[in-house]
Amino acid sequence: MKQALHIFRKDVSRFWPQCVVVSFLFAIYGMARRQQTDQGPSPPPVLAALIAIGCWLLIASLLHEDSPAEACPFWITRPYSRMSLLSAKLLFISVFIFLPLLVSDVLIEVHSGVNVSATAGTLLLFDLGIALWLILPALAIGGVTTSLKMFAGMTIALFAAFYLVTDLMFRHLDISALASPADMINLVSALPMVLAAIGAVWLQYRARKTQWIRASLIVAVILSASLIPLNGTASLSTRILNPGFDPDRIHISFDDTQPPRLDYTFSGRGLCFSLAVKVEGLPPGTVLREFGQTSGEVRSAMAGPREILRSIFEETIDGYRDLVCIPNSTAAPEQLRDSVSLTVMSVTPIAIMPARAGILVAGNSGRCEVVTPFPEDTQLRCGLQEPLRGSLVAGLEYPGYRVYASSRLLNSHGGSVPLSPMSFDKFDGTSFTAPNGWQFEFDEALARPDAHFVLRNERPVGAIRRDLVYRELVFPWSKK
Amino acid sequence: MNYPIRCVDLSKKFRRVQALDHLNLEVPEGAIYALIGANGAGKTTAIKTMMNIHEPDGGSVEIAGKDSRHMRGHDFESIGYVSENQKMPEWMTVDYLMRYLKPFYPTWDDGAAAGFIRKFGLPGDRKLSQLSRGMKMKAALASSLAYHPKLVVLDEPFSGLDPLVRDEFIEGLMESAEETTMLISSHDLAEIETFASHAGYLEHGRMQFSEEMSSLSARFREVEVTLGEPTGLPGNWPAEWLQPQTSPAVVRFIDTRFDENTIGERVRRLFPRMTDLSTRAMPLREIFVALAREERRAA
Repeated sequence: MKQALHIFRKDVSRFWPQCVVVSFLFAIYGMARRQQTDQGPSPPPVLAALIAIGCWLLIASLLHEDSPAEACPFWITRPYSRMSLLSAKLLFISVFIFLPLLVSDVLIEVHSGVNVSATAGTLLLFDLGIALWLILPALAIGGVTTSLKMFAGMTIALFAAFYLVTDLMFRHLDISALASPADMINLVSALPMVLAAIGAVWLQYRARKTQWIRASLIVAVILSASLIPLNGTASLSTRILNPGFDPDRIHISFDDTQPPRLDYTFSGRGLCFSLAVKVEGLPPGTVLREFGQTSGEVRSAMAGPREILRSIFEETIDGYRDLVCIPNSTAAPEQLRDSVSLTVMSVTPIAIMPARAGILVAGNSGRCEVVTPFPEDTQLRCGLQEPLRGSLVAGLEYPGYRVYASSRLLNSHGGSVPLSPMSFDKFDGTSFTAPNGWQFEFDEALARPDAHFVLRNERPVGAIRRDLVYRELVFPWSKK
Repeated sequence: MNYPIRCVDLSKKFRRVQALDHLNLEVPEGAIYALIGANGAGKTTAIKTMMNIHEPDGGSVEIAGKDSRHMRGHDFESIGYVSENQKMPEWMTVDYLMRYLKPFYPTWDDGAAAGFIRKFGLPGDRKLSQLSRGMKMKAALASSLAYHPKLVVLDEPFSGLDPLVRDEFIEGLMESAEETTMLISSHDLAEIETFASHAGYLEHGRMQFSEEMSSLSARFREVEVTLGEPTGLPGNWPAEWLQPQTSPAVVRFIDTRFDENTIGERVRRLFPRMTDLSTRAMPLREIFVALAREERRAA
């Protein structure tokens, strides 16, 4: 440990200017995020890119300073303990990259009124997850290269291999089977890359097998890229992460006992029906969310198959419904087939707040505020920074009424807003708008003492794809 | 006798190139061993294998009785290694380099370090990147001698150094010579001859000879035979007599197994009309050139 600290101090002397730059970037990002939670603009995406590039370059330079890949490095014939050398590098990365990331997130949480101690564990885990790709790849590639030029070349080559193989695989597979964002990069497919990277770092510092390790990194990237489009890996990941979840037990069908509701016309080209959906076998504490493209067709005895115009699978106060828009037809009963891609989300309530104007305290999770940027669209804006896996969904409920913002990761900018600069899947500082606004419902809710907002975390546990068939869909005029 | 370096049947291959081919080498304790050989003979590979920079494909190296493959960290506390191929932390100043290395060595001697810096005329506040090649080598040597290593391994330390720097470098080495064993690979045979106690000649990864300098200089002689009348070379020319040259009445060659008691008799057997015989001791450089030429001729 003494030697590791000695090497660490040397590296600080060597790289303090680069550390200052990276810390400055984290600070700028943190301030921008803080402004965003106060309804300011989002940080420019280029800032997150700069942080990523800055961190990767710093890690690569740090490793090249005492490179294990160099043919005849200075340290190899000096009394260095190899594990002390690795420990010194990891300590440096922890102090100058991971710590600023963590501190930046904690400060934003504090600013947003989040109970930091209550969320410390999840925030730490979350930031460790970010470190997996912000730090680990640079660590693995930096360990088997000797210059920044070589580092950049190998990084580009690995990324290119990853995307080429994934692209090639997707061209030859039925990707419609992928039903959730969780399928895109799943645990099983990422495993070869993660294990290879960890193994590469450890083995390179222990035994300096540069050529072998370079080759194994390339093989691991190609293997991971090949596994991503395979359905088996996605379902295996789901089973590992959610051992009790069995997608085959979930049965979904149109509920023929409830008549279809005519909803609205589709630009004069068709009609939209809201059809009740019967869901059985859904695990307790989970809901269904539509993800990805749906497809379907209608056909009748008199007309051939025609593609449906739109399909929206939604959760309502009456249960699940499928809003299907189909082309105009004078035909006799139509048979409808709708293939829906759904994500099963586990739901955890986070806070229940009275539905009233002004600032609301969302338990340990920060503050929310009812704001009305446009007359027709009342929003509930929350500066939440709670580290969650999955998304936060807001709902307005009172007896006989329940509406939830239907989209995952919904916010005022139409995209996800990450807390940490590298996060993809984390909610914070977003605002919620119910479909078509909450104006009327909110006006009514304000007059009711029993109305309340519900904030809940929705986390994907698996994906399913089902074909729903409605045998006799009758148009109002054909009924006549 | 103790041998701080012992290579037994050491082999190393780089793809198709056999860099070391069953190399056997023993460096006795207290020796200053000169490892000589033409470019590509395998000197640097041998040294890097000894230092566990390369792993041998066959055979073994023992450094102070320990298999080189198992050498780690603290084994280098008593070994000094200087090579022109080694990457140095160029951003460090000379003083910082010394301060940085000190905690790694329990036997670090501040007085010795300061002495070497003074002797070599190294500017303490100058970064290594701003030093000339010779100064860098001197800084590397100072940082490798300041802890009184028991074994010093130098890979081509003199190449490219001007005569003044070379002399200072050698003087620095000689200050530590009494307490250490040294292995030096070099082309600078004229310099090495002045202080080496042993020499080994490497050719195509194999050790051709390895012996004390005194016995080496004793067994190599340039021989000049004056004849009464012009005579060609006889057919039964001994293999140990290299590079025979004839002029009408003179024959010159290099005897690689010189024995002053028998040389006269052996020459007379081939040249009965010999009128005069003279021999001249050869410097290491000439021995090396003769052997290298012979090697090329044989190839």
